[in-house]
Amino acid sequence: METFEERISKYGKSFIIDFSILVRAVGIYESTNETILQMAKRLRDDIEFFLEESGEFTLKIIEGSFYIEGTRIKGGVSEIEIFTSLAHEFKKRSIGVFDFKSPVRTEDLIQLAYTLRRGSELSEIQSELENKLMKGVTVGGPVFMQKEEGIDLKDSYAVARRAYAKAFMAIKETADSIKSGTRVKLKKIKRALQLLVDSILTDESYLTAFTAVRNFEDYSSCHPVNVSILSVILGKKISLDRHQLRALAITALLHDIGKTEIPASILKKKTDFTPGEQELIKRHPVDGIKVLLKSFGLSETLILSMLVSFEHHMKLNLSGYPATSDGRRLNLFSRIVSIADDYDSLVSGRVYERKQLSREDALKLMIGGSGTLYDPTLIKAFAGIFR
Amino acid sequence: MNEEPGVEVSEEEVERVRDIFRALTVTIKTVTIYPRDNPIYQKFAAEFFGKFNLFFESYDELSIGVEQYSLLYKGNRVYHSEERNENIALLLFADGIRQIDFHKGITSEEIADFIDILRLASRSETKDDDDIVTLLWEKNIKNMGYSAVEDTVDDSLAVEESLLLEGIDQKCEEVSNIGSASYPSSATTSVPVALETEPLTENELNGIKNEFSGIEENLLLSSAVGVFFELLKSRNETEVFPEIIQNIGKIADIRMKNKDIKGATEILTDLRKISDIYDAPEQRDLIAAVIDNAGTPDKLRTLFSHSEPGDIRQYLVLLGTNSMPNMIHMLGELQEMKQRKVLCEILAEFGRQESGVLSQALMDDRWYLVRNIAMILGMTKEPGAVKHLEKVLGHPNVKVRREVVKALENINSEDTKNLFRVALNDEDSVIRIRALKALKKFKDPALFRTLKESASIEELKKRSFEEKREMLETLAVLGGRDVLPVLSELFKKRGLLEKDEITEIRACAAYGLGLINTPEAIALIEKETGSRKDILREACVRALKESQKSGNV
Repeated sequence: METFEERISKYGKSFIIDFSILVRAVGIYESTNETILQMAKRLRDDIEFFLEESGEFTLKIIEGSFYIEGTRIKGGVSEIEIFTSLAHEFKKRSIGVFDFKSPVRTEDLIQLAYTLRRGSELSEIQSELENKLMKGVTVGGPVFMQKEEGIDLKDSYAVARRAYAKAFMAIKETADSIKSGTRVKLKKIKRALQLLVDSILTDESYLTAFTAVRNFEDYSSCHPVNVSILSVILGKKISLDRHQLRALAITALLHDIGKTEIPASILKKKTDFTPGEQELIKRHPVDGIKVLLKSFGLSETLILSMLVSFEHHMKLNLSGYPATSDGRRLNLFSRIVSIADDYDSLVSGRVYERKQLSREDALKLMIGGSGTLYDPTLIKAFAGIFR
Repeated sequence: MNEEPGVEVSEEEVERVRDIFRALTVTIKTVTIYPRDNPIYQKFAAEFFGKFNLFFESYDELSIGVEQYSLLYKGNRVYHSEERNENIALLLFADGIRQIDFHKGITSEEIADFIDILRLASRSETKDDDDIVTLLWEKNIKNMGYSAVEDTVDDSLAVEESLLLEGIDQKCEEVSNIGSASYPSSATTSVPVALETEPLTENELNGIKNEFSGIEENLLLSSAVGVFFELLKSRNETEVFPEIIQNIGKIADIRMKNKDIKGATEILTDLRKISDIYDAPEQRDLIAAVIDNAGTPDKLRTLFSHSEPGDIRQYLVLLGTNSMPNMIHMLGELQEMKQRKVLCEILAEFGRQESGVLSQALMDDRWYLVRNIAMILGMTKEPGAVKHLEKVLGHPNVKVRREVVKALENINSEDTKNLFRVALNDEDSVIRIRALKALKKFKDPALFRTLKESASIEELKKRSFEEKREMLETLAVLGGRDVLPVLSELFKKRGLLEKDEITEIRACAAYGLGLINTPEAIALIEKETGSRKDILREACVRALKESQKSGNV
């Protein structure tokens, strides 16, 4: 079954093609020409499809790309010219947004195409649409996307802030994609965490501070970001290189991905878990493997993420869960993420009788487990982060 | 299609940039053909780098705008292509890059890295869901910058993002009581922890470093396989079973690609164990598909090119009978004797269960392969193989027919008897002799009557000494007392001018009489122990010795 996003991509393509052809055609034919009428009808049908799907919808043109309801509409190689031509028409007239709110008549669409063709700038087109009392559609100015270059890369605070937000969005979108069964875009996660790694390599202090900012309403998104940040900082302390740090950041961000299989009502529960719920929660390391296998192709990232998901609740002495074979040597990434995960959980009050520990108490407690629960070198390096 | 007027810039400056991208286009084409260390590629890369240097002699930065079909320098089109492949603008644009900057000081190594990235992207050779943006980050080209857009612009997420950012600012302000503008360079110093911790010693750091000497693929694959099998062995993971098995298959593929035969063998071994636990038909099918895939011709070629016979045997045994056609195909290609031997032994093992597959290969055009298959059928020692061998008993190639008779000897079942009888009429004496030897073992009196007809003087004259002897000895063994008249007649045959061919027949009859070993037979032989004909005398002496050895006289 197609998801909403997939349907948008599929029908969005027809929509852009039909729109582009109509705008071109009105430059050649009279409005009464049969070809024009046919094209307008097709465009009307495309619009009605989206209106039926979502009531109303928005077409945006950002940096030469089309987006319908936030999803980028990509043309095939043979359609690129058609896409580019329409984007160019809009750019020339500084048009960035079309809002379609109700069904549009065929003759209105032909009129819209003529208006676009004739109008030299946005205000002119807007007023012509108003004069014609065309109610189903409104036109807006250019949309600018927030980009990395929009922030001063020398401003460490701004970079850290943006990195945190991107990582937060990445895990949120990933979890949403998994729940809705759509493909997880690993490159999007990578792009998000590249900035996070660079930010930490430049100046880790801001992101370290941000981990103390807890949004309890959205713990399931903030916690993985915090764990990712703390893991990368610990990775930096033990001299992992930039490439390794990105891999570590990804695996840490995805360490709890198995929790997407647990109902939100259980995860958000403020009282103690029932034994059944506890059992369900304890399955998340294994469920993580399932989710990852279904979402990603076999790659270095998948394997590392799987290992971390599987092992992050196993302790150095192989206590913890899930039960495992004797003699297992926990992966370094798993040992790092385990420390970052436990720390963030302790200071968030998610474990240890749900009591929120201070940073100092949490670290004291964890140092007490050095050599048994945690890798002694790593826990020492971790404590050093807060020195 | 950019129709915007460009920024005021000299035509010479624009032409220099066009020149750079013309050179880049040629270099990209070259790099798809030649590796990075090839002199032809290096020549083009050097030329491309030279164009950069020329530009940077006058300018400090080269900033390029990216459109779907075009690259722009200060608004002027410096590259345009509507090609589907090797289109630099399209490649960059498709991955969201909208601007790319080269800075003065860029090195030839950095340029080569950039070309590599474009090459990977143009051939869709990126792995791990990489694109140009992630690859550029990985390469970390110091003298290059870029800006890129994302795939989605979700309004609801944008709102959430801005709320989050507001939250961060607000909380940071609360915690530190200072605004972002004056946030200290080391933010955490505002919330220090009063723990006495020592920095890591060099030994501790080295310990960790040694353990983690990079993200080593082989190690990772082993870990992944370990987790997969641990999951499969510990519980009934039916929901994700197909994905686990498919990925195990992929790892087995990588192992073979990396020529890690031992690693691939381990995976197959574990898969065989797992198939005992997961016995639902669809699960068995999935496991079987992975095992079958480990026996494709390509993988078998890798196996034989990079392993010792012991390792080859271990791997092949695990494949099972489904891979027999590919193994047979391989048998037709292999040159090395030891490897062929191993393969034949394995095929013989599998052939006991699936002799039909071997039978099909007997129809192959390559006589040497058919000969091997005949041998393998013999090695199976299965009576069921006789019917297959019968098909090639009349093969045009004598080497094949010889092998068929040998194979029939190995099987030695009742139904081989008729085929040996047929083989007696083969034009090749080696085959006929083998058939005689084989028939001798059956001790079937009915065979005596068949052979007796071939034991006429005229028939025997046509045969070699060895065949004559074998024929008459066989008669002796099969005929018992009935054979004495036949052999004694042949033994006594004389003429005035006894020809050598008659003497040979008499000598062979002597061997036969020796085997009968009755007093009458012995008496006959003894008479000729002083013969002037060397061949006859020698035969009589030997026959007597043999008969004395058997001790029946």
